[in-house]
Parts: sequence; structure tokens; C-alpha cells
Amino acid sequence: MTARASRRSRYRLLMAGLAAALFAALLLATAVGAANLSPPQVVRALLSLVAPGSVDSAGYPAWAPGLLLDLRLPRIIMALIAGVALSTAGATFQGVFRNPLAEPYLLGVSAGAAVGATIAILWKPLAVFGVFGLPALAFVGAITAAFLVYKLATFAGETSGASLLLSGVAVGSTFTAVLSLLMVATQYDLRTVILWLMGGLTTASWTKVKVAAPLVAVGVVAMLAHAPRLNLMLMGESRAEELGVNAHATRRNLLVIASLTTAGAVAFTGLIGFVGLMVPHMVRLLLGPDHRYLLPACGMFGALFLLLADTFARTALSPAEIPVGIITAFVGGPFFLYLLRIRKGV
Amino acid sequence: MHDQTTLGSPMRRRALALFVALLSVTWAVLALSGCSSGATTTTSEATPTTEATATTTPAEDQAAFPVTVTDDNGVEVTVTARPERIVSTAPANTEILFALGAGDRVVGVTSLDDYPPEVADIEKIGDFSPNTEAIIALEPDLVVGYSGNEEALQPLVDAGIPVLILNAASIDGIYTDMTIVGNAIGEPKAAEDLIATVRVELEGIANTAAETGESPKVFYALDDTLWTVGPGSFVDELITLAGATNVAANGPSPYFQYTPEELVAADPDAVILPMTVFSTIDAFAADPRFAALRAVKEGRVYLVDDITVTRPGPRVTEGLTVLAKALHPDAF
Repeated sequence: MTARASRRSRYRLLMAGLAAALFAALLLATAVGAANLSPPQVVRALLSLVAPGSVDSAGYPAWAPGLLLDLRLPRIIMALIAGVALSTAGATFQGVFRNPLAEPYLLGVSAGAAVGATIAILWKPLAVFGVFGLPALAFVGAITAAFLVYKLATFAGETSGASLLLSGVAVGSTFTAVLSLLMVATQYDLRTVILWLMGGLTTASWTKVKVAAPLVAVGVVAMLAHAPRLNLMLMGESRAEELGVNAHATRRNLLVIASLTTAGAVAFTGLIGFVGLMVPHMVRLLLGPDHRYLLPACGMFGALFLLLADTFARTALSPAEIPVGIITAFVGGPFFLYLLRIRKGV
Repeated sequence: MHDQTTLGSPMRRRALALFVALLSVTWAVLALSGCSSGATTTTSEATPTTEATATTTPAEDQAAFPVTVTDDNGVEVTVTARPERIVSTAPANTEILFALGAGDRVVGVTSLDDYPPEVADIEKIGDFSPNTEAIIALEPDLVVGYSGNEEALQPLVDAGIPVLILNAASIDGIYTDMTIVGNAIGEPKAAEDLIATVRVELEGIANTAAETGESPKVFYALDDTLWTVGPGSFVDELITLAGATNVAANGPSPYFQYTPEELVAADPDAVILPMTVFSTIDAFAADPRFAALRAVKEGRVYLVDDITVTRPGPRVTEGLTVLAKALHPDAF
């Protein structure tokens, strides 16, 4: 009772802290960028967008409202979406496989999405689908990889975490090989493919946000709906079955949902690593393994983390940009180790 | 991030390795480093012929706006008034703008720009990838972009700013780009003159090379893993003009990887190593696999200043001179 109460109050405290930090990060991210606008200019330009005529147009450059609306804001929103998607999908994969190393990358899901996206970039007839071609194929790739992994790991109706992880590595390696082969065989558009693989939010736009947001929203809601069953699965598959959970179906559903969520983000941002692996661990260290709390907190933390990382990536060496994956790894790795250390000290 | 996983690490490393290879291969046209400083002696800036200046009246020189041009992507772009604030997203574009006498109208260039020296004082808008925010803040009325920049420049197109995408893969392509830019900036006559000057210079070098009566077989190394230039590449065309035969001219694509066996079998008379990639000829000449090559034994492995060889701009004349000197040392 008291343990539960203290966990709940700790959850509320963390969520409030994250919300405040996220708000501050949003302000910062909107205020800074390659174009040198002062904070008052940003405020005036934003006001002019919200209430035209309310501010003197001499208070900001004529291009400022357009720049904020069409460049900075969609990029900020995309960072939030991708942060939520990668961290919640990572937490779900770790729960489903009961393995701390499980994440889209290790399970071959990212590699599958990458193969799909690469085909979309290289296969010209797909251009008729516009911005939808790439996410659609990325999703097909991700789900194909996830299902291959799942089927390969299932023997006589039994699926163990260890065999899932092993088949994940095998399928992932195969997809990576296919990806490399595609890249070697078609050198022409290699540049686009490599830039996509390196990951980044440089080309975020409202069109992409409009496709990614619903996909990720549906995914996150579905994951939250499965959270109680996922909690029971943590005790072991047979225990979960005894408690009335269809472990097989739950596992299959969550694989599909987490793959969809991953693909929804990865299709537009490329492969941004670390977030899906480390953010869930960080939050779990603070909150414990209850997915009803873990998943929302992961979403908030992932959004905050990726937004800050991307803001740094686009301003540190401006006008040049640092691939955001470098920042996420560089900052996140040591922080994760630090969390592990204090945890041990307690 | 990926480094923590067994799968991600090699994948990312391979992507990075390919990325680096590409920097020196597919994008060689953008010329990576600024090591050409001081190495260049001649310029091929627009020097209008006497005939041209004599017959040109101010009225003819004054191009009419609005003007519509078709860029290298086949996109029709309308420029409504004479551009006064031009942004260039590639060194070759910058060189064309300066050669057309519009250098004082250029307000933004890349950090890779190194010629002419004036570019040092111009605002930087990114490197291979242009920074959209930085460009918008410069309030340009014309952006001369490069193939691959399309997505980054789309917000400018949406904002109604004329954006030209250039992508010259041949000498004729350079002429086309000069015409496109000349028309777009209101200097069509300067473009004609520039093309004529470059054409005459290139022909002169090519004729001198042809008069030697020799056509040495040459291998152009893009890196120490034998990436080279194949058919349809800009460098391949220059090698032919320089009176030589590219041993990789029958390759599968403009840029591809040669094998050591093919190289030994082809036994080129000369090997060319670009300075932006190699620091000494030993990286190639001291390789025991190639010790028996005629080019190595006869001391015909050359380190050349390749910025002008790979940059599709007005200094292609210098690029051809560099190659011709290496391939016909007695004639130049």
C-alpha cells in the first residue's frame, strides 16, 4: 500500500518535472537556430502568426514567421514524435522479450525498416506515392522482420525470450546484408540512402508530421492499452497464461504495434539509435517496471531527450549540423552509466 | 547508441565507410578541401573578346526581366527581377557566378568554397548540406543550388524564391549551367563570352595534346582502394580531351571500384593520384602489388592538384591543363 502510494507520487513528481522541462525545452528550441533571431523577435513573429496585426511588423524580419512556422516548428514536433515513438517502442520490446537488450535495432526491426526505406528511395516507380511510399515500405520492412523473428523463434507453440533474441540477431544480420547489397549494387542514389541511415530531423516538414503523428499516436495508445497484460507477462509466460492472459496473442499484438510505432518515426528520421535502448532503462531505474507508469514517462522523457539533442545538433556548429544520433549516444551513454552507479550506491 | 549492439555497430561503420568513400567519389565534383591555395596561377574569368565589347550596346546588355529558365532538373524557374542577393550552395556555382561578374551580388556560399579568395568574406550557409534557416535569413532573391539539395531548398521554393538546381556531369553540362545562370542573373552576354573563352582554351589544350600523337593509358585513382572514374564521369571526359585513354573507360558506371587484378592486367602507362585524397605518391607506388606496373617502374605516378579537375566550373581549363601536364610532360 505504502510502496504503491510512494511509487505513484514518485510517478506524479517525475511527470510534473518532465512536463516542466519539456515546456522549457520547447521555448529554447523555438528561440535558437541558424537564423539569428533574438527571443523578442521570435515572440513577436509567433504572435503575428497567432493573431495577425497584433504586433508591429517592424519588430521582426519579414521572413521570420514563415521560417518559424515551416522550418523550426515542424522539426520540433518531429523530434517530439520520434522521441515518444522510439522510447515507448523500446520499452515495449524490452517488456515483451523480457530482455534488457531488446530494442528495435537489435531485433532486426530497424534493419527491416531500413531495407524498406532503401527500396523506396531506389525504386523510382514508388515516387508516385509521394511522402507515403517511404513510411509504407519502412513499415512493411519492419513488420516483416518482426514476424520472421517471431515465427523463427516459435517451436511447438512455445516462444522463449532467448530464442526470440537470437532469431532477431539472425534476421537483423540478414536484413543488414540485404541493405548493404542494395547499397553496393545501386551506387546512384547512395547518398540519399546514407543520409537517411545516418538519421536526422533536418528535412522535417508538416507533411511528414501529418503522416507520422497519427501512426505513432495509435501505436502509443495501443501499447498503453496492453500495459496491464504486459506487466503480467513479465512474471513469465506460463504464469501469465495461468492468470488469464493469452500470452501468444499479447506478444504478437505488441510486436506489431511496436513495429508500427518504430516505423512511423524511423521512416522520416532515419535510424536514430540509443533512444529506444536507453531511455526505457533510465525511466525504469526511477519508476520500476510497471508499464502503466513506465510507458507514459518513457514517452515524455524520450521526447524531451530527443528535442534537446536535436536542438544541440542544429545549433552547436551552425550552419553545419551534427547527426543527432551522435549526440544521443554521446550524452546518453555516460548519463546511463551515472544512473547505474547511483542505483548501486543506494 | 548502435555501438552498444552487435548488429548496429558494423552496419553503422559500413554506412560511415561508404559515406567517406562517397565524399571522395560521387561528390568529388564538389572538391573537398581547400588545399589548392596558392597552387593556381591562371584564371579563366570572363574576359570578353574585343569583338564582343565593341558590338555590345547597353540596351542589348540589359536583359529583360522577368525571365524563365529551365534548370538541370528540368524545372522551369521564373526570376522576376534582376537578382541582387544570390546564394550559392556549391563551389562550382560560386565560381560560375563570379566568372559572370556577379561576385558582388553573392551573399551566401558554402564552407567548402575556396575560390575566388573573396568567398572568405561571404556569409556561410552550410557545407554539403545547405542550412535552410541560414539561407532564409540572408533574404536571397535567387538560390543557385546543387543536385542533392532539392529537399533542403524546397521551403525556399515554397516561399516563392527562385531556386535553380545545377548538376553538370560533362563539359557541355558546364556550358549549359553557365547559360542558365547567365540568363537568370541578367548576364546572358557574359555567359556567351565565358563559354566561348573556355571552349577556345579547352580546344587549344586538347589540340596540343593531340599533336603529341601519343595516347597514354591512364588510371585515375580516387582513393587507395582503387575507386576510379568510369564512362559518363566528368574526369573521364577530361582524360580523353587531355589526349589519353582511361583504362576504366569501359566500366559499369561513372564511379566504381577497380580490382587490383584488372589494374595489373591493364598495365597503365601513367597513374594519377588526386591531392585532396593522397598526400604522397607512395600510398600507391610503394604498394608491392603494383610494383610491376609500367607506370610505377617508369616513375609515371603523378600527384595532381585535382580541385579544378573535379569541379564543374569555369576553371575546368585549369583542370585540363593539370591532367595534360601530367600525361604529356614534354608538350606542356
